[in-house]
Amino acid sequence: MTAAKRCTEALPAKWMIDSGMETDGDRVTDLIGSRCVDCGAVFFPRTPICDGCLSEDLREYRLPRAGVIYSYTVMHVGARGVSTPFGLAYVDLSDGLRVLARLAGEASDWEIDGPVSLTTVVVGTDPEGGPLLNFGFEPTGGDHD
Amino acid sequence: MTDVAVIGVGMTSFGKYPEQALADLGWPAVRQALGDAGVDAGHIQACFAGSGYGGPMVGQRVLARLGMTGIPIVNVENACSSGSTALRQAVAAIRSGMHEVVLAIGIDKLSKFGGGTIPLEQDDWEARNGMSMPAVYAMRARRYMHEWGARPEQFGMVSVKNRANGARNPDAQMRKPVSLEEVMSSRMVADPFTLLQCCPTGDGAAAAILCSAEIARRVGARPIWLRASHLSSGRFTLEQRDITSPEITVLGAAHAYEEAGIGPSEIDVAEVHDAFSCAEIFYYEAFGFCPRGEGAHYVEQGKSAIGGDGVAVNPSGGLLSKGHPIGATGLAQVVEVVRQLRGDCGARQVERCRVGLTHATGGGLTGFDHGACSIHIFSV
Repeated sequence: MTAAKRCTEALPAKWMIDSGMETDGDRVTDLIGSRCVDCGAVFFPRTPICDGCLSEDLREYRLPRAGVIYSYTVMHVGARGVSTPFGLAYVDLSDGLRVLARLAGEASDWEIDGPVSLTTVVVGTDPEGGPLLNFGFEPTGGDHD
Repeated sequence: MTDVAVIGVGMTSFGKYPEQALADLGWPAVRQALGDAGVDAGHIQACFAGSGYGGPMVGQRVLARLGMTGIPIVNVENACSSGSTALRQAVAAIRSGMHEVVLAIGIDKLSKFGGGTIPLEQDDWEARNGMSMPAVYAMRARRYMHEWGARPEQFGMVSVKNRANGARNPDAQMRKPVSLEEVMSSRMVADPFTLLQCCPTGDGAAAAILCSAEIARRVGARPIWLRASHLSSGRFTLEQRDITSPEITVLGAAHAYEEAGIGPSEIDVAEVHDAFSCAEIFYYEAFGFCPRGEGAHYVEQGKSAIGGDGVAVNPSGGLLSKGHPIGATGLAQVVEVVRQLRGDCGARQVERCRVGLTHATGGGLTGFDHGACSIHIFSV
């Protein structure tokens, strides 16, 4: 590949984390955890063993795509390559799980107990210069669903 | 089971010493503790050395400088509770009858990271996903504000109080008092925390020499008695939990009070883990110094100040002012409480000081409120 050609091509996007998601191109479609076949407990991130009944028979589990913000912060410091400021939240899902996630959209729309849904967030730039992506949640307004 | 006494304490002034080897941060604290106890190095029968980021063989590296090798040395890592965990192991060694005179060291040199937040283990999923300690505490603070109506300025008052205390502590890293306006207008780190509401990282060491009651009566001029020594790990869950009450500390406080046979009303002085301003407010409540939801008023009304009508909290300046070389913190808290109970604290002395408490907790991991929490209670 020549330097000229490299300049005209968009650099491929990279994901900030390497597990827990199902993706379609540059888009997150589902968060994937584990479900214990023996006792029904659910886990995110995935685990090879149920901490409740010690069963090792766990299956793939698709998390609900919607939840509410339990709490959040606007971070003004971050890892190398990550753009600041950014929103970070604990999102509570209807199955009882709590997920640490990026917030998407405008800070003025983020509120505790506000409804959110799964989306994809550009979090910064990877070391090669391409976009760095992660899953995140964005406010859904609540009133007009 | 023998009673345990603290007969000597020592610490280095906390700060940034990037040119110094870890061993050279450590030995002065040990030498000071030996001098304070009035015992020779040869009387120390074992050493427990706590460090979060010091690497292998921390205790050996420090004690080599003082010719104190050959004894059993056990190195302990438990994040921000490393030093206090080393102390607990020293207590256990004496209570069991295995040893009679034991040294506990806490030490870290965080300047080697060149600044920024303390690095979390990237093997952990939440750490890879962007978690950091400021984020953990900031989310607790915002939920607490939501549930209890606390204001960011009330968090900032913790920094003002602790910087005022630290200004009177020659071993503190931050020795300049700050106004509430300066705290609130410093740069934003993790909403609602501004920079002056985050403890500084740094370098330092602290040490304590403990012994059995029999030895204390023979050699210790001014023994301080250990009343409770508690350590626990946090409960792991990926499910929803209340983050506005620090579960691991609430449970630990109950155990420590039970072991000491006392309640919160008998505590005169407390050194608690104020890594971020809001944390100290949570710990007023967790230790029962005030009811749930009233912690912000407790600081606003001046109850936790030296000379206030509540428990004097963090007279040393706490982590916010004294600094937080994480492995050293738990033992530096013991240094302060021992000096307070002896009446040696000069301008920051808490009056009528008979019972004191230390509390170091930390460790950011997916699914834990904290990975470790260690609480000790002492009395004259």
